[in-house]
Amino acid sequence: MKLYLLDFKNIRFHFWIPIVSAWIFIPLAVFICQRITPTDNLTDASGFIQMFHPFMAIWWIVFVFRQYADESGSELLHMYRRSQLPHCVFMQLFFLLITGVPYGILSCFYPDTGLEFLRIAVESFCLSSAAYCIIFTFRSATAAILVNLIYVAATWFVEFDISRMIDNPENLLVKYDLLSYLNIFSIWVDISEIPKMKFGVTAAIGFVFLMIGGWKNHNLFKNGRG
Amino acid sequence: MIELQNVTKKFKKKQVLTGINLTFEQGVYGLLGPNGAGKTTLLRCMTGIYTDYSGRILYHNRELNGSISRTIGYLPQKFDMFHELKLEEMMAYFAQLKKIPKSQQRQSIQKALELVNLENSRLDRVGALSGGMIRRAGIAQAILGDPQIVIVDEPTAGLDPEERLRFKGAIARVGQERTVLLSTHIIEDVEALCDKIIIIDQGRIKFQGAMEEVAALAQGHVFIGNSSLPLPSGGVLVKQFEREGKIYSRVLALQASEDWEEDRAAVEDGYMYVIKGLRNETIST
Repeated sequence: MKLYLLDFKNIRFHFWIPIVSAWIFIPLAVFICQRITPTDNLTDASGFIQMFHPFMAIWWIVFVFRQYADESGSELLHMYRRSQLPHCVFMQLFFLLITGVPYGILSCFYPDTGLEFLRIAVESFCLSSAAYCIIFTFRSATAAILVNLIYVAATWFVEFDISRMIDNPENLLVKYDLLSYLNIFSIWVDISEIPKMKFGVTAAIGFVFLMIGGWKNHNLFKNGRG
Repeated sequence: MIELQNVTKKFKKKQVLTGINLTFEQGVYGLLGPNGAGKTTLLRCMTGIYTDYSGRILYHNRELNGSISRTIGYLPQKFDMFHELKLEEMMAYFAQLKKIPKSQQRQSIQKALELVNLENSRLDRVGALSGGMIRRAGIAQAILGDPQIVIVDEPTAGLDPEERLRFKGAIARVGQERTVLLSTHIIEDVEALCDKIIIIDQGRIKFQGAMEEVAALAQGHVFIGNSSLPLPSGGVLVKQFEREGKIYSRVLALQASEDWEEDRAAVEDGYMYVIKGLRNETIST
């Protein structure tokens, strides 16, 4: 635990960004959506929350692990502790804990808050596991951020029907369908309409990324890498 | 005691280390070799960073494994981390990694910082330390927990002369009670600090023995002459230097004309003799 606390201290203000997203952005999103369209569910706010908050799940993963994978001295850390998988899982759980605080409060006012939280939790787990996998596969914190950022931006492209605003969208329809298929988010869909299978698939994908990341982490210096 | 038995390492199809056999007792050893010789690879095998090698590495007759790796102190070539932590906090981090009992951590950190003359900087941010101080902090983390073996890779690279002097002082103090292996391509560091020398080139051990023995290899084959003179036949240029406003060449050769003056061999000459050889099969064995 002391190691985890020192790692958080070492990333300075980056530690607070996911917390600000959870404790300020989420309540703000709910408040603004309720003012625009008063409703007794979180569907509208959930859409906005999914646009930003799951991406914040990669923040600690990237800024803590860049020292282990991407920066000078990483071999020394690898010598003493080969696998950062427990540390990654700890950060994922801690992220869910801080995210659970506003949802716990919202549960007093809205139904299905538990399922909304589960939706965010699964999406966050998938993205953060992907970040862990990328950072130790390519030894690049930048790649981990960029890949996740591009993926999230691509899902916005799908969810906001941007393709339909472009002239002659027919050429994009194939790509549009592929992005839809790969999209783990369900931004404007009511929680009760989402097939439970999608949650399971997303969680399974996240688990696969986590396992691959753990394997890559453990073999970080194999075959002369580094 | 550390013993390497026929250690061989490949990176895919490229052979990097071939049949390394070495024994280290107490003392300071210098591992010398040109860039790409295999020094860092050898050190990473010894510290357990690379595990996919053939052969055996024994520490007091036990194979290297996770628990033993904590009895080795290691300072890699690149060590520049935890910029936002205080020096004391960084040391506490490594004390945790090394599983030093909590009751002993404070004392161990204090002792390590005192040995490298950084006790007054313990509350400074690591990012605010100079390059030389960071290298000394690296030595401090390597000796945390009082390991009997300390391995240092390219210790003085990038340091200014004053910092190098301080760093060498720290290494000398560390080496008084431990086995220290210093890997470098800077011969002056080896001459200043080491009792014994190992020369590696192209993944093979070319020489191992005392400092005097390596210099003796080149005795009788070292010549000094004006830099404008052509090199003796089969000769190897060791270095050029200035004396009284003139530039001279120091060469290694089987024999030289009267224009060249024979000089006493130094470690540097012995090193060049081993690495470059001389063009006569009866000498360069």
